[in-house]
Amino acid sequence: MINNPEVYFFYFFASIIVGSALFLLITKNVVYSAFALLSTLLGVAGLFVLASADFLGIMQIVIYIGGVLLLFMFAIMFANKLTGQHYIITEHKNLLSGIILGIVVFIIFATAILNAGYKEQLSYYPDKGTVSGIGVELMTSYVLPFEFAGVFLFVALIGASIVAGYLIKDKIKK
Amino acid sequence: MILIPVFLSIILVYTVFAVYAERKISGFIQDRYGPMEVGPYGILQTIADLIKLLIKEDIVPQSADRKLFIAAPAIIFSAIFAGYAVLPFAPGLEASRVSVGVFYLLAIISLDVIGLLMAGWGSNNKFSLYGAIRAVAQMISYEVPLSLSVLAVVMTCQSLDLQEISYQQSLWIGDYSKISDSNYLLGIESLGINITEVGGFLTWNIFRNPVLMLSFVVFFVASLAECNRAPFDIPEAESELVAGFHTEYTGFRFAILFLGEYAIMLLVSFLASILFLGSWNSPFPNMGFLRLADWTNGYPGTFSGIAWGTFWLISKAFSLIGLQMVIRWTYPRLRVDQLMFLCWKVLTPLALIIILISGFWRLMMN
Repeated sequence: MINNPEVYFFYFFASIIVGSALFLLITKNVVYSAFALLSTLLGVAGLFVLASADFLGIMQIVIYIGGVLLLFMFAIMFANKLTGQHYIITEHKNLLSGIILGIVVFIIFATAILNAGYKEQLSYYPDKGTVSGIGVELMTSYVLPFEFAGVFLFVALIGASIVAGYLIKDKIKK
Repeated sequence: MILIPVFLSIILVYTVFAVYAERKISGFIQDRYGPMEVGPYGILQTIADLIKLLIKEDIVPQSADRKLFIAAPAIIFSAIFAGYAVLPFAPGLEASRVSVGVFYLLAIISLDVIGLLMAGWGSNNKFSLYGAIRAVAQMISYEVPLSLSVLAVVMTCQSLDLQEISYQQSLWIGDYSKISDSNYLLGIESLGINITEVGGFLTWNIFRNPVLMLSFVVFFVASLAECNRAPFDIPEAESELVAGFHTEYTGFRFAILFLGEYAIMLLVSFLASILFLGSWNSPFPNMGFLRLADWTNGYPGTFSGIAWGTFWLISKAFSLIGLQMVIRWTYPRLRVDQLMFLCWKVLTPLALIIILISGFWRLMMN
């Protein structure tokens, strides 16, 4: 396993994730932290692809980078427009309790993962893509949660358009 | 790995000549000559421009966010260039054959938006920021009809793999396609006309499922908006915003942004050719003793296969780019509200209807 070239890719992506996550925490400029989040998410997508979950990796890019992160950036930019400052400077409050909380959560996750015995189950390692499998499973075994998610998203969409529409109507009345 | 320098040099050479073609086409449409001085018929004009661009001073504005400003062109170009990784250029010739090809391509192009935002924000200039915000709003909106029109093709071919989609439109559907083994006229098996051996334009996706002709139109319009090309060029409207997000860029960085702009035009044209216009297959069908399709296609894996495939794919893509250029110099720019009207009230409902119909068509296919 150690001589496998994939290990080096793993360390590459892992160092990207850890490095940019640290930068995200340390930097005081919110715009920089948004871009650090970008490289963290890209690194996670790379790890997914490395673990033969190609569909999940691309989903990561579409949803988290194309959707969530972009929304963050828009929010940051408009907030900046309102305050009129060039940078939004954040402060590091509750440093000690944050570090303690982080270490505790890390220990919980680490012990859980080490005790779960993933190593024994590593034999399953699909070589081909996972798309068709995911598609069939979504439309058969998991059709109810899938449809539920669809309905939830649809409700959110309608809600968003109604909220935005009312604002415009009020403005026209005034 | 070996294809990376090949693609890169293709893009460079293509950009040099595309800029020349753009200026000549605009000259033709506006009834003037265009560049005429440098070289015969001004053919070396772009190379002279390029040399001028490369020896220009590299300026980073004093109040700009230096890191973002410098990183943005690299992110924009690499996001677009990463899209080339999954393009099948000929049977057996592609950088990476992944089962999620189309999906990967659409996802990785969306990284481009982040780069635009970085460029616009980092420049610390209101024109740049307005340009970037307009570009992002436009690109995110038009990704919806774009993805939906691609989805109609994916439903028809039942695969996300671009090479599989290409093989399904070829003469070798039986040997190489993993999903279907023969083509019928208009894709409908019950008509009983087997055209697997005929090939040519009849097995293109727009003829295997005629609804895809409409889908192609939706894709083409949406891809114009994705490239920020006129008539969808409000992000860089020179009469209002100077040049949009790349106002502050000079020299080599501007060259990279320009390269990215032409590279995404080429990318969407390749994608349109692969998805709708028969990929690397010849448009000529076999008719009786005239074996036009056999003569103008090479067997997969052989040298002639790669040569013919590359030739057909590149000529299809270049025709589409020519069309993009003619449209740019023919139609006026859309207003913001017209832009959003076209996207959300025309193209998106049309694409949804296309998906519905092509679902029914898929049921009829076999």
